Amino acid sequence: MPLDGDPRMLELEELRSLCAAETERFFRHQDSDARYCYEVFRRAIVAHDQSAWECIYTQYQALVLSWIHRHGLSTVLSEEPGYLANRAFERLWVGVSSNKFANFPDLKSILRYLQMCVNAVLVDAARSRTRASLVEDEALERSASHSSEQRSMEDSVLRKTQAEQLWSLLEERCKDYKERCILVGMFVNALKARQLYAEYPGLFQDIQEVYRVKENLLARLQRDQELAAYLERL
Amino acid sequence: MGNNTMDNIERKLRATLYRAFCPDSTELGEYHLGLLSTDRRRELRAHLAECPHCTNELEALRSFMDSVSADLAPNPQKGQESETLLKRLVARLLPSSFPGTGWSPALAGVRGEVGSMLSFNAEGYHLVIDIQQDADRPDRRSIMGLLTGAEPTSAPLIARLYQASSLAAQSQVDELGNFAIHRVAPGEYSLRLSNIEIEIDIEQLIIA
Repeated sequence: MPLDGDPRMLELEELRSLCAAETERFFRHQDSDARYCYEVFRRAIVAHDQSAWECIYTQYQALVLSWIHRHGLSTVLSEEPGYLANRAFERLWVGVSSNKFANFPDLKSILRYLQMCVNAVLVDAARSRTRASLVEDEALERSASHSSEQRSMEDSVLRKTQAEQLWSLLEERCKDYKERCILVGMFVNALKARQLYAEYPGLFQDIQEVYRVKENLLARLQRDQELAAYLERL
Repeated sequence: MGNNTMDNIERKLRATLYRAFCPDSTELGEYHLGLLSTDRRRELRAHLAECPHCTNELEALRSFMDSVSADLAPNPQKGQESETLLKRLVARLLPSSFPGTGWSPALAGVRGEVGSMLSFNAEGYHLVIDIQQDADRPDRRSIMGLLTGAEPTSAPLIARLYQASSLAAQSQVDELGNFAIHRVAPGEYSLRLSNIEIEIDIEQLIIA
């Protein structure tokens, strides 16, 4: 039942109870007051109230799990739904910090962000899986001495730096736009020759030319001492 | 030797460059929600123009957000009495669920043992619930449901399981009427299948 009182004046326990009751009314398609749940989020995010975070987790965990189950990727990934839900709440914690809270004027905007976080953790799990299948050896080498969380953080930073350095070296060595498209299409986007030919309509005469340009480029890179030395260090 | 080296270069290029310049998935989501600065938004737009992976992920994100947007739908307009628009039904247990017993579900609540199949009627709707041991957690149960016999509704139904008035779990009812709720701890619940047009309640469901 909506009240006129200021939610900021209420104790967390009272807010918790009102938030649960209003959520229940919302799901019953009755008039409901979102201010209590919003105030719980405000206390968690702006006032860094750990108990408010626990309240959010309790109140919304089932809803987050239902979003995970309704996502198309949930059937192809092996990660535990509970694990994915925790990661989604963590992303909310990082993404909606106190200085950004003004961007979220109501409960709906925060929950939309939480839905987006659910999508993001599932997409990241799918990205990791695809990447591991493409670069299995390197991934195994790098994972040898690190925990998964450490690996994820360190890998991300290291990989970005290495990629930027390597890309800079490669761009200097590209003769023309076709070679750049080969680098982008085949190595950055991991496209097959046929896919790359379709991705850049009219650029290559036929698929044979895609192969030819790629072979010539790789042969030249293979003879390049500076590049060879850099690749050796990777 | 030559081919091996060429293969090696190719492998290292792919290992280092594959999707290295893609925005992380949260940033792609913030792009979709319009939360990025103008400059960063422009950069991502340029990236999307040449990255089929991010383009596909953005499309999938839009589709997912559409599919769950009903969970955040605004309330009916003030003055529009949702209670009068909503058709509310209480599902009744069919005697065939417990052949040969004189047990009264109305008094005792509906008790779902593992392996039991419960049938309910609610004005032309027929709901069958199958309680199974959860495949991942032997101490938990899976509730498999099938709703049949009614005209299609305009919005998808959501099956929600409540415990002491709190939402415990929920699942979407698919277009064939199937739903599944997993990892349910034994206990006393109520189950509601609802959308903006209809609400079908099983008021007391004891999962043993």
